[in-house]
Amino acid sequence: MEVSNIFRFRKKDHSGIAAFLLHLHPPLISRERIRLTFTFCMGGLSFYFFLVLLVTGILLMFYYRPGDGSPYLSVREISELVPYGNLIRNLHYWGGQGMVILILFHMIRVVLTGSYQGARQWIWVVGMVMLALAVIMDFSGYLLRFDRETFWAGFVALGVVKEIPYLGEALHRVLTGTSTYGQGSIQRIYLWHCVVLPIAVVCFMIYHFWKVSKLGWAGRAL
Amino acid sequence: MNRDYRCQTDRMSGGIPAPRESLQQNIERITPQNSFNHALPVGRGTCFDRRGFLRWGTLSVSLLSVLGFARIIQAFLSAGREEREPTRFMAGLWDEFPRGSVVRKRSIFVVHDQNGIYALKGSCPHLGCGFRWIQEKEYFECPCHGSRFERSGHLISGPAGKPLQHVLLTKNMKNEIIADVLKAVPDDFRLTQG
Ligand code: FES
Repeated sequence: MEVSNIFRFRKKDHSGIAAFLLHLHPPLISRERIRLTFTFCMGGLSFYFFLVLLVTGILLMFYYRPGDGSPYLSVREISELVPYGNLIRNLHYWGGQGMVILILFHMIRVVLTGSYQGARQWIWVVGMVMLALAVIMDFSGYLLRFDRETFWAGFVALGVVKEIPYLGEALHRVLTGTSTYGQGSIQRIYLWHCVVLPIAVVCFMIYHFWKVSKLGWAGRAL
Repeated sequence: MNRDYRCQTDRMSGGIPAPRESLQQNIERITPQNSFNHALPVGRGTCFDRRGFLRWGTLSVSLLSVLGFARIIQAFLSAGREEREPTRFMAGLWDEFPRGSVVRKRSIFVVHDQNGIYALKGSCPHLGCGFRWIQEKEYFECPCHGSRFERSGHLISGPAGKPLQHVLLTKNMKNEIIADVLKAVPDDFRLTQG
């Protein structure tokens, strides 16, 4: 296996931002595994989608009102009255769907190339957790729309949570702040969606990326 | 491999491409201290090597898209709500609202029917546009998406899904009628002269 320094530089020549960026690269990587067709860049693309979701999500927070007014009305305002509102909202919506799909394909690739083995197993496990978080964020974002469709979706989903033996009721209360799912639950769902879950995902990401760069990108340990 | 670094080759060997070397030698040769000075002067004008070209290309394209997106964000964020109207105010004296009339006062409509005076919130229950009373047709019509409401506030048609909101009217010691926009009342609420 031919291993070479693909970046062709000497670290001592750089400082500041350049040094930091270079530091993120693994020092050595196998030639076979930097081929685009080895990874199809799907992990990186998922991260890119995450950044898009972060930016558009923050923008949407300027207009979304989770409180006692009508959340649905504020969604309609965003897409019908705010300039470029529909663009931003759709970027956020499709970005969310796209990210979940990309993560799934990314994981299929990891399985097919056997990249979950050995020293990389915790990267895989953390990746699974992030997939679960991504799906939960996707679903909670859907609930925030709070029209009739998503109201019933939330009612059913959180009703299922409630049915968990022993823990259900308590968990429902913690998740929604209410004993029956309704408009009062949206404030909580909003915070889970916009603050708590994203922070958790970022923490897992830091580990995921650090470990990947330490072990060399894309593939089994070198 | 050499064709990608024609700038250096030109400078180093007078335009004659160096013979094919092993990778290791090649790395050594093109990695002097100045390998990050991508724009190398060759004769007249400036010459980019491939990496320099890609770097400046990427940078300027990203800069352009950032500028474009900044404009979108600026427009997006500039749809602020206007200064709020006062929510409690003096609507007028009894005589200003003769029986059968519909009068706009700030953010409400004051209506006088056979049972007394009542007030309707003047923002559309659909998306909050201000609407008007069409005297000839005897209904309220919203200019935004065309919702229509009866004199009583009942919904006639349109994207709005709710009737107009009735709000509280009271009389103070000076017999002035005070409206409180934030206090909703049932639609049979009437203020009478007594
Ligand atoms: S805001 Fe009045 S009809 Fe839409």
